[in-house]
Amino acid sequence: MPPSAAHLQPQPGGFVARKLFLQFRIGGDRYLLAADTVVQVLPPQPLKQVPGAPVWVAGILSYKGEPVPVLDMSQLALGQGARQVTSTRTVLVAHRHRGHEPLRTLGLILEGVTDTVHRDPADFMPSGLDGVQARYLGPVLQDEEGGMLQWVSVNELLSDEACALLFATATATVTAREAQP
Amino acid sequence: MKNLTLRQRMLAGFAVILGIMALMGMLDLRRLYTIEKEVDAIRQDAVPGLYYSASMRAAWGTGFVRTRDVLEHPTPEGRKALLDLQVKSDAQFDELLAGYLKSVHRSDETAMYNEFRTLVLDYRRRRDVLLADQSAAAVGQARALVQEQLAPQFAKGSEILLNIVAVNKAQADEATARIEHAVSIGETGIVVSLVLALLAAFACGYLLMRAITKPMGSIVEGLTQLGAGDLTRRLDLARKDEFNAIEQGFNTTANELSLLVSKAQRSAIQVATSVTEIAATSRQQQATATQVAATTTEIGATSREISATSRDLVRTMSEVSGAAERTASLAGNGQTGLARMEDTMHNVVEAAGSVNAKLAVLNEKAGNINRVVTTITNVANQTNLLSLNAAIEAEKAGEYGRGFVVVATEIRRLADQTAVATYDIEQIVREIQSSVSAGVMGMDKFSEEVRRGMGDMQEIGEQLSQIIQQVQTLAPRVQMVNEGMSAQATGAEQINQALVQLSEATHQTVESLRHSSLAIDELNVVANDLRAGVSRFKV
Repeated sequence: MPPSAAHLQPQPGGFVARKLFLQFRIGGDRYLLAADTVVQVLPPQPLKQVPGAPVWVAGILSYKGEPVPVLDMSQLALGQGARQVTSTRTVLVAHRHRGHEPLRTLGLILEGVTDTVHRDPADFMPSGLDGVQARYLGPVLQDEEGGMLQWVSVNELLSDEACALLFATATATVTAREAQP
Repeated sequence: MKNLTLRQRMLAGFAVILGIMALMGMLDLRRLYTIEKEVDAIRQDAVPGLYYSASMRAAWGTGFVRTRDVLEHPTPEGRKALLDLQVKSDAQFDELLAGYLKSVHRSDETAMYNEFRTLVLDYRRRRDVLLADQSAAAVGQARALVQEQLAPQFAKGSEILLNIVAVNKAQADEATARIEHAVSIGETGIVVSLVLALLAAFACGYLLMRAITKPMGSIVEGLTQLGAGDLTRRLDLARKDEFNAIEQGFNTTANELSLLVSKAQRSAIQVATSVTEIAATSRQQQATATQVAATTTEIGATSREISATSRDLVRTMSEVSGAAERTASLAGNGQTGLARMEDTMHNVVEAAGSVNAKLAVLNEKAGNINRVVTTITNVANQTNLLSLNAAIEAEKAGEYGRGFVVVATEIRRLADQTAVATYDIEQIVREIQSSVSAGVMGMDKFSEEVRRGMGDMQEIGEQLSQIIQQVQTLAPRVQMVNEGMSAQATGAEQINQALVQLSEATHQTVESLRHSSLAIDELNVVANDLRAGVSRFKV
């Protein structure tokens, strides 16, 4: 029985306290992404490559006419590219860098995107490891099976330089494309 | 003086001598001519005159006596006879007179002759008168008549005759004295000129001799030195005559000789050197010949080994021949076995082919299943995706979306189940497929192996038949080798014999080389002698 089936049972306290999360995997661990940040889940997309960009920059996606930078989460986190399987999907998220405007669309290649789960944000506890590098790793939640789910914060995914690079590249691509006849 | 040639000098000397002698001769000739003249005078004048006059005197006397006899002769016959005689003697007397007349050349003689002739005529006249007068034949008168008439004429005549004789004698004496004088002068002249000539001859001879002997002495000395071995000697006579030619000739000859001898010296040295080299070479040759002899012996030993090896080889070849035949029969067996194996392999290949066909069918079916499964998976995938997006949108929709969230979740669950099942099917199908593929691959490999095996077998079969062929061709070849071996053995024998001959020849060579070495030694000695002989010369 799939693990998410447990969440179909009505919970005491009503739906209000629970939040929808999109579950994905990095390596062998499961992570959660807040569903309200998710714009759309897409199947694997062809990406325009960005030569000279860091390895975790998977490329640039054209979404509804707009260029969207896509980065590989597994590469960013583990240094190992995402597996090319059906469950690896491109998730478009609404990104506000460090919480600041502007609101930009960012693409993430995530592994194991097959479930959504409802969880209570209050159940999350701080992990105790607040590394400066992985600022996006937020609090954790113990699972029924004994594994841990960690909340990933979209807004903290990128460093300042990475953000500038990524969106500058995207803009450059737009400029280049507009410059073309 | 020095510039006169010998010829000139000799000619001069001879000329002088000849001149003197000619002079002498001329003088003598003149003298002799004078003498001849005198002699002529004597011959023609004095001596005949003397002869005739003396004869006439005798005849005059005889005539007178006869006349007296005629007159005194008693008998007329006697007187007649005596008169005849007188006539003859008159005739003779006339002859004498004529002869004397021929010899008369001087005027005083001529005068005397005339006088005498007149007297003779007169006498004869008187006589004839007297004789004719026979009457006075009385004995005592005759004599007195004669005495009276003839005697004075007779005496006169005798006197004249005497004078003539004396004159002729004086003439003769004079002439003789002149001759004698001339002769003595001539003698003196001869002696003087002889002495002169001798002196001149001596002088010229001495000069000539000096002119000749001095350079001759130099020449002789030079020749002696030349003969002694000093070839550097050259003549310098400082003459411009024949000796100059001799000098030049001598010098040229000495030069040539010197060159020749120096060449000979060099040649002698070279000859000596060459002979030494030849001697060395000859010894080397001797050594080499000895080596050759030794090598020949070795070759002989080797040749005998070859003989022995050949015989071994013959034996081995027959063994090889036997082995080849056995190989041929085994190969034949192998061929038969191979043929059987080939059939088996054909069957196997066919079976493998049919198995392959079945597997291919299976693969196709699995492929079909795969396609279906893929479709299902795609559907599940899309469904899942859809459900995710639906849930997210529903969440964003808030309350209004809650019911939808359940639906979405349910859809997702079904999709997941499908996905899982299809994943299982997929897995199974994949395994089947992999097995099939493995099986196919295995069969392919097997088929490949079998084909290769068949190919190998065919190859082996061909090789075996080739082996058999080769083995079959071996027998005649072995035979040939056998024959060849025998020939080689024979050849080795012949080599042996030839080597024996060669050895003999080598020994002979060594002998002859030894002889030649001796000859070279002798030659060396000769060359040394030559060199010694030639080195005597100073060039």
